[in-house]
Amino acid sequence: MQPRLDLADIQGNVVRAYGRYSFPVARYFFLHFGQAEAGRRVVMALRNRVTTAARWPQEHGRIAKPRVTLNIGFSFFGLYALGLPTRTLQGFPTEFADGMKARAFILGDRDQTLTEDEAAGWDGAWDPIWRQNDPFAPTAVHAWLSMNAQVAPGTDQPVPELDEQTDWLRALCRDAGGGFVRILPGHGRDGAAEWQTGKALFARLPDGTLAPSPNEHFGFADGLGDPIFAGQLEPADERARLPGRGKLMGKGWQPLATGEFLLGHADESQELPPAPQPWAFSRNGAFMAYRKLHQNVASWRDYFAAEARRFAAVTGLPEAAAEVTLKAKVVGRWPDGVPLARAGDFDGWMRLRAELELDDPAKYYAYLKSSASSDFRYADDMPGYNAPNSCHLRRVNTRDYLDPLNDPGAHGPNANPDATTQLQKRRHILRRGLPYGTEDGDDDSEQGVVFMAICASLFRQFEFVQQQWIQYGLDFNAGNNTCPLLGDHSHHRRFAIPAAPDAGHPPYVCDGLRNFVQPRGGEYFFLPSLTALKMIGMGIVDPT
Amino acid sequence: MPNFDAGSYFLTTFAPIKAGAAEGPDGCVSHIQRIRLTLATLPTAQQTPATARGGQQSPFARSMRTHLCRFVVIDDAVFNGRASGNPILARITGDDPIQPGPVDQLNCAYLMFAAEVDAVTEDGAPLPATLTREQQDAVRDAYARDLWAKMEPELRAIYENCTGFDRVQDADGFARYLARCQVETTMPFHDYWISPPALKPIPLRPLLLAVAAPLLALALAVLGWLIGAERTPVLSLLGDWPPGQALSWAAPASVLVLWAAYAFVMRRGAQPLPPPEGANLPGVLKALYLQQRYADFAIDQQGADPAALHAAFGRFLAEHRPDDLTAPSQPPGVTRWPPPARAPVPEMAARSGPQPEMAMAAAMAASDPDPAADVQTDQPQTAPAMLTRSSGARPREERRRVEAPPESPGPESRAPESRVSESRGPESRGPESRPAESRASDNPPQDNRPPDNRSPDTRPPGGRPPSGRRPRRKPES
Repeated sequence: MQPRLDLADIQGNVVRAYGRYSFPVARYFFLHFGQAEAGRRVVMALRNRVTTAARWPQEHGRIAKPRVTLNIGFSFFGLYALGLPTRTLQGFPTEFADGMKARAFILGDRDQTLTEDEAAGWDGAWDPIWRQNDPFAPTAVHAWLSMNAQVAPGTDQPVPELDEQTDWLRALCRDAGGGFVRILPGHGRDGAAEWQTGKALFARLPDGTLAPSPNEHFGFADGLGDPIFAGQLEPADERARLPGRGKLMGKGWQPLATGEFLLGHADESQELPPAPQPWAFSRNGAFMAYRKLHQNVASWRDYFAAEARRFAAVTGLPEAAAEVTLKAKVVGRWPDGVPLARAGDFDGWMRLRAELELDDPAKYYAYLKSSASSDFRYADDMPGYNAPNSCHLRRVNTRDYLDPLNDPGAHGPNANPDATTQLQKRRHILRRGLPYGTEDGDDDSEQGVVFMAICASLFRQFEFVQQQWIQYGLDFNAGNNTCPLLGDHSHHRRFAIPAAPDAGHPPYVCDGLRNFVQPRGGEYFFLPSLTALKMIGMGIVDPT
Repeated sequence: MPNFDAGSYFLTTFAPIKAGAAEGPDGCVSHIQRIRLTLATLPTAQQTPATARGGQQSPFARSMRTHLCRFVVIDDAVFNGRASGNPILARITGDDPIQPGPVDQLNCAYLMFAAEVDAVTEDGAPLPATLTREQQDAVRDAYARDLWAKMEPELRAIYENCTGFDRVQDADGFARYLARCQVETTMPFHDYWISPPALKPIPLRPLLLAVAAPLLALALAVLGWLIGAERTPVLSLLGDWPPGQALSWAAPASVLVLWAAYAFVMRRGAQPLPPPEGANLPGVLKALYLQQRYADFAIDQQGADPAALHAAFGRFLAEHRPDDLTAPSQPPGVTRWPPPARAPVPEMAARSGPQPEMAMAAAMAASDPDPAADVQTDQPQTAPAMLTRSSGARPREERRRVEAPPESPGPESRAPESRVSESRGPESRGPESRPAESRASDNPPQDNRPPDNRSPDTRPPGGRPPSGRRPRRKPES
């Protein structure tokens, strides 16, 4: 039975990804509240425009999506600045109160081999807005606002409503805010931009028009396999999309418990996630980690071009195939999104592409949208012959790999048929965001991904995956090796690619991995429900 | 005997701490506090980057038998709260629930010292499979004497705050003292297994049958007695026993067999596991050393043709001597060997500005590629990984030290006179520290393999604006 969610009370970005096909352009603003009352006035005005999770109406047989959305979140000190009561503030989790910058050691953003003193200046590469994000400074980041916009068909230009809403926001801060509420600039290397842009990569279709492509700057299809929680989708929709995107507990694929992502609902351990008082304030809220991830595209290109030579020699593949195989083994999917678990080597991938006719754009698009690109498991490949144990995809979503009853050497379609995702189901995050920056750059140009992770507990979900599965490798029998894609490679720089006994070549170990992805700033935000927004705006949060 | 298992000895001792306080240079400090202060300044093993760079080494690393050990100061029993009572029972016994219940207390504070050591009396001896009680005591006493020989000053500084230690004058006295303080370790844990040990399984089916037989007879006798039969049901096939008679032998037989089965299982369980292959400390250290060297070797040799691989492996065997547990190997108390050369932190140099020592070091580094050539100078030396960076100045003088693989580990090797590294104090420095030798011989340069820990990519592109922002909160560790 589908749980009954008050969708109109939940912010839309929690339930929907505002995917790159519908909303390919986004702007992310960050506000500072210089005075509590002015801040609350602005929040009240914003509340009326916030996009909720209510189902979009059908008009003329099509779903009428908004031209531009608006969503809002607050940092801990943003809530403090808005005058929330102490008891409510105390109820927020420690990691949220700390903020992302203070958690840099845990997340691996700061060199973990240096003491705090020695590492001073570690955030030198961060954008100015994040470097200056000090809790009691006039540049403290208090609120996050996102506007996701559609584009004019066939182009990559956002609809005019985006600029209109931006102007409206500026006017609001000036008028209702009375000068106390400011949009903080400081994005990008020069720190001039007033907002962070997110924009999908676009591909040119045969007829000359532009369409959003699923890729990010390393050339890999992104945004696949997002988890689904109970109540998020219509039942028919959920059944179609669920395989690979929920939990496996011996009854086929099921959606995750709502409480894994929304406060006030039971989570996978059948508890209510810890949340501040009063319940009416925290219910239907969620936490979000916002991270600007810079991609060193030149390092990525050059490293694998060089490593491919030796890999080609060891495996006997032609060098081009060796290079794309190496990259795919690092990511866990082939560049077009086909998971390694379905096609473990280059020839297998080519065969699958032919079989599914993925050269046809319509079929390719349908494949990405369908559950086929997410429906696979790892317990049938415990040694990691298809998807290496230490590859990115397998680290951030272990699926049924960690079931303690799995036979560790089992490999084959019928291996470990009863494996469950018991140890993974509490470690999911909803991924939101878009790429940013231009293509064809190098390590020094601005490109990457604006990444947002939504969950009910930053510590248990986002920080756990970041610290234990991205910046550490014990659960994957990889010792101290970090995620080959996202991990910090200042000290631990190896990635092992297992080879099946009948593969005809030995396993391969990449060494000297470079830092391909580096954070350029971020913060933790609380995404309140619409009820909570009203309570904040009216100043009536009452924890007694 | 749980103090001994799998070839290891699990020592647990509780030494009572003197009550009261004593005057000292820092005022009137209680003995418990004094122990805490002493233990706080006792160096741990070099198992974190900060301690590895700090240079101090745990005194227990001088022992070639100690795998793990720890001190814990136990102030008192922790009060777990009021025992919940049954109100009806309280009424019957006259227990008044508003009166406070008893609160458990230890008779004094205790210093716990627990160690997991090789169950041998000589360093590096093979681990035994079984030891009698006397032999176990001999192992314990030998360990105590070994500790006294290696770290008497540290032991005195800690234990002088414990009752009864005044009478300890020598190694034998310390052995007797530890014996008096010993508490049996009831659950040893040991996991150096590479493959599961060959254990004799308990013969479960015969055991169950042996237990079931008299119990069945007992049950039948009771049944027969209850229904008032003249002869015991079923057993009457074997012999003509009335139920009472059957009861008279079945009951004691059941008790006897149950007790015998229990004793058999418990005695089997108490048998120690056999020692795993190569699990004494020298073996473990050699294994760690080889694991690191072999990983480097295997990666370097990827794609090599068979003849080259064969020759290289021959050189590997000759250089690293897998069969020789004494050398080359990793010393106790570290997590990597050789310790990583510390990469410079350019942000700090830019931020704090050049300082005379750093400028000189930078000039030296830029001009002289071989630090070993400059062994005699007073200048701090830089490790090879830094030399190609012109901004290779280390930000803070006191952190520079020379780190290099020794040719033989062990507490007896001493560094040459010209060793250059500033010391925190005259005490523990450990067996390492010779002028840095290049690792180039181990690692032929590869296409994209910069030397360990060089991290050119963490340098952000473009100009570096001075940051000056420290995280305001202390991150949790």
